[in-house]
Amino acid sequence: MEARTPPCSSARPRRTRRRGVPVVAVLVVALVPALLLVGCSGGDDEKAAPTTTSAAPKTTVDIPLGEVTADSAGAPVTISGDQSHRVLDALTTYVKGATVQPLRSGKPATADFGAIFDGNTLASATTTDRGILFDEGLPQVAGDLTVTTQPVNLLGLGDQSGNLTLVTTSLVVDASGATKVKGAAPVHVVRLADFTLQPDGFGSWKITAYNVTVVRDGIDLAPTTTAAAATTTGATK
Amino acid sequence: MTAPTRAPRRRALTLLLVGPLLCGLLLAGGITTTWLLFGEPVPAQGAVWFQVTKLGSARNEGGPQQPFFALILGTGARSDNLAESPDDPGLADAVHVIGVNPALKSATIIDIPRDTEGPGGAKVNSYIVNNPGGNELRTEADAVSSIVGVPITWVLRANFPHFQQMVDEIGGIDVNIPQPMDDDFSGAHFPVGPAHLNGEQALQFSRDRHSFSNGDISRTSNQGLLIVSALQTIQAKHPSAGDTVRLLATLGRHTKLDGVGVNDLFHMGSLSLTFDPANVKNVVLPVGAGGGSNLVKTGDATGLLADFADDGVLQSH
Repeated sequence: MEARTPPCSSARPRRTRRRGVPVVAVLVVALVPALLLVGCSGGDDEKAAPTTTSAAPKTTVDIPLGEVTADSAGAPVTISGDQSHRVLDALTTYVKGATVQPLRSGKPATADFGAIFDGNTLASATTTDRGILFDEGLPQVAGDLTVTTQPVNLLGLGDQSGNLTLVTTSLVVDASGATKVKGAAPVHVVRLADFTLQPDGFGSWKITAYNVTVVRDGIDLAPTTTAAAATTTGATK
Repeated sequence: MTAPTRAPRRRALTLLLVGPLLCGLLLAGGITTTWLLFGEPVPAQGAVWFQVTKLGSARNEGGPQQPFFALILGTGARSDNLAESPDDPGLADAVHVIGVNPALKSATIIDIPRDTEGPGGAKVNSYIVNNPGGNELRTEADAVSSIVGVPITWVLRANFPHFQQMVDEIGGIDVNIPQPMDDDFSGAHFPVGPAHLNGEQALQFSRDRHSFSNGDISRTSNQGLLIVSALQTIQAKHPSAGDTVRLLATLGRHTKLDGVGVNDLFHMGSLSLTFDPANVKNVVLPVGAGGGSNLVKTGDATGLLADFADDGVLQSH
């Protein structure tokens, strides 16, 4: 019984050493690249963004003015150049705040929409209809964000005293940009928005009614939020 | 004796536990190495990982959020200048209170017969001409408000020529005529059934009371029907926002307003175009014989008006 003991006790360490070599090799092969990968991709998405350009991508929103007309319940009215400009300013602020900034940052819209919506529409636009009017919850656009708009026609309505009382517009915005997911389709947003704007008495024009349809396609989209409020309807298909 | 059998078992057990772990690590390492050496895997050309399309829509017409009441008046004046209207001093022979509930997208039209007695015993159609130099629309609205028991905020009035022109400018009204009409006084000669009425015909349809045994009761009901029919006719054309602007400009050109601006009408008009006409009820105020030729509210009117007053919609009538 004792004669068997030395070979057994001496053989076990030898076998362990021989088996340990491939195990260590496997671990090295497996763990080193993994550690390298973790080291390279650590941090947030901003840091991991492609480093091909040093300047931040810029998106220009240029909404061309289309046909400008007016009808009136009283004396004929016209929409002046200044009034057209102010309406376009409001629309530009909306596109930048509702589409460009959220897509660029991958974060919720932060613009002051109280400057372009009246109290009634602001309430519904930023709550029940938020998912329709704002491009939030979408993958962050990493490279160029292309925003194109068709010429915006303005149609004014004059009151019985011949004062321009409101303007209706039809805004068509097409925005697309690649995300950080290689090989995946870019985020693409097409929004058709009928806006009614009225002067606020301080020189600005604010949105007092809207009828908006949006189509979004791309990868990994968050669910579109819809709801209905008092005079607000929302729907998805 | 047991040692030789325990060792292989232990080795087998160790292999069983460590083997899968090592295989997993090897696989992960291989994938990671490949990723690092050759880059992120790219799907086949033209393919995408996930492609999701979402369509959504939302609208807010603006305007009132709470129920409100409007008064629609049609007068017999043949001209804006009453001196040029010797046949009629501008009595309101069409009196309709519309309760609008924006949240429910519903409305109720209460048709008030012109002989209904108002405050002080006068007929409801006369208050509009009994306040010379004052706000005749507000005077009329106050009288109607006391009859119906609701606050009236908006008043719209059209006379004969403006009513005709307005109907012509919107392209006419499709009406399903409920009773045969054959009346030389108004000029209404229409068989029962669908008809497309131009301005002149719509006025004839609205004025005729001689074709019916109950006279003005059917007439006021027909006037309410014409309002609902106008909504249906316009809705059927699927007007754009621009079309709505033109419609409201037309309405504004041919009506006198009190308590409401054209911009309010635009928002209200846009909202009403989203109403299902089935949710717009047309009801004649229940009336019976009063003193002289006056009509007075019957007991049935009490419950109906209470139902109407709370939210502009008739739930139980």
